[in-house]
Amino acid sequence: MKNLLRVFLAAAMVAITVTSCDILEPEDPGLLVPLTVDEDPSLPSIAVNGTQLHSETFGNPDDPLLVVLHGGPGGDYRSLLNCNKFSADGFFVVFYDQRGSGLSRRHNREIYTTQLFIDDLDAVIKYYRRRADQKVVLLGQSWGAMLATAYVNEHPDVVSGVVMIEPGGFTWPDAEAYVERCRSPKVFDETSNDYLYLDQIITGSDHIKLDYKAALQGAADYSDGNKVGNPGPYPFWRKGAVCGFAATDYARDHSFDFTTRLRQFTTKVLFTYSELNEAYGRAHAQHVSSAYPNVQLVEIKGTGHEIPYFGWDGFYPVASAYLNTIK
Amino acid sequence: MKHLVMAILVVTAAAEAVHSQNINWRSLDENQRNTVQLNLGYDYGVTSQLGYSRSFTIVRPLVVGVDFSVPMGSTLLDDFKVRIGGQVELVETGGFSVTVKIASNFRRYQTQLVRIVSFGSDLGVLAGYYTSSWYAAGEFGFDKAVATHLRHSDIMKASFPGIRDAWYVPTGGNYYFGIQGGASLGRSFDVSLRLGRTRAQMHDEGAVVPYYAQVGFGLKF
Repeated sequence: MKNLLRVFLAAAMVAITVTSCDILEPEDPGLLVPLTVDEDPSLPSIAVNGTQLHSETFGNPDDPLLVVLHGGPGGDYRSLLNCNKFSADGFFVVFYDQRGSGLSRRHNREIYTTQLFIDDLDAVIKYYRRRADQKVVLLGQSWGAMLATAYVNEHPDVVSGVVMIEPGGFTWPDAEAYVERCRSPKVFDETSNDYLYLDQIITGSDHIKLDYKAALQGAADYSDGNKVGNPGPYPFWRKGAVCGFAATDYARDHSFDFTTRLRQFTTKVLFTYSELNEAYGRAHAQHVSSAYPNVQLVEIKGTGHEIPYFGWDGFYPVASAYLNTIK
Repeated sequence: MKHLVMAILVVTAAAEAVHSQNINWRSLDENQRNTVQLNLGYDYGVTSQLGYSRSFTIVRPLVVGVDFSVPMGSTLLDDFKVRIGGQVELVETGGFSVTVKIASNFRRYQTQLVRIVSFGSDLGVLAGYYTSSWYAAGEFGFDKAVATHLRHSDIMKASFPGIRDAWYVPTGGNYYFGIQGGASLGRSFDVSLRLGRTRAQMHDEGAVVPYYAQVGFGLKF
């Protein structure tokens, strides 16, 4: 037994000595997750509604605004950058990482409410909108499409069109049921156990460690056997773990219903869903989209949930045709 | 910092003693000092754990050993845990017993994003009632990932080119508390059950499934 211990100890020391000379602290900025806009002034950003958001634009600022809303909460817009091509269709395309997400500034969990995301979106629109008659179109993916709908429900007069990509649901029960279908674990498979096994190696309460852990566990979204039909990894900057936890907890505790005034919004909206997302499907798409009175419902073939990244060739003609009708 | 890591590893490993074995001190036999134990259940994933231990009496009863556990999945050895450690019965009076467990552990974890190797320590206390045919005890312990090396895949480096492959100290820790019990089946076989929950250190976010549950089968020889 003593010999075994000596071997174990020697292995540990040799591993540390040989494998790397660096011994670092995981909480230090810039080591495991990228710096955010408040840590790196070279990143493009805007200051609105008491926060600093990572934001980029493409196209002519006088063209109709197309505001792109990423998923999550806690995701970022990196996988949606294909949408900058809508600038060639005559739109001023605005991307921003939502509060606490991507390369935007982090905040502690206590501040997050559903309303805060709506107010941030309103502030972003006001920041970029040059004229009162400049049209505003929202394009949202997953949670981003839910946020777009929440905004339409609250500010129907501001919005001239909406492109939605697989919103989980416009009420908390619908969204929760969808998330459960996405995540239903398989007890004996690699992905589920990879997700769980990490908890004994990395724990944290600080943002950086939680963001890093969320990035590693995010592989479940595209690992073999994932329910949402993603064929592989898709790009991201930083998973906003605290934002994701806090916003989800808030929704669970307070629920939401983004459909209360939606029947008044008679403008046609484009609602897309993917062929390969097993957790979604036409029935759920019909159910969720029925909250809008005027819907163009389209299935995008050959892709899963990350439609703008994996299914761009199928998505672009449909979205472009819709956008050109409301320009 | 490197010296600190090594010192921690020396201290934890030098404690030499087994962790996976659920020991009934009253059923130990001088002619059956060796035990092989298989544990199946949930321990940060659905896991299988195989251990070997040997008992001694040096002032107090002592069991030392090693165990190896793997979670379920299509790739068998990309994730595993090895523990070297032991337990000593510190107090025994009228069937009641207090045991201290200490172990050093090595974990490996690999996905398409990262390969992790981690050295850590595990310290626990058991207190309960033991007879020659059964026992029941409560347990409390702390499992710390002390030094962890992260090596990232091209996928992670594409997402964040500046990500650093390096040793990180420390990366996490979890308390665990629960109950365990067991019964002897004849002279050579034992069955045992551990149930409990985990709680991350300080204010850390807890595990997705903060529980453990293991059924154990022991063969003494």
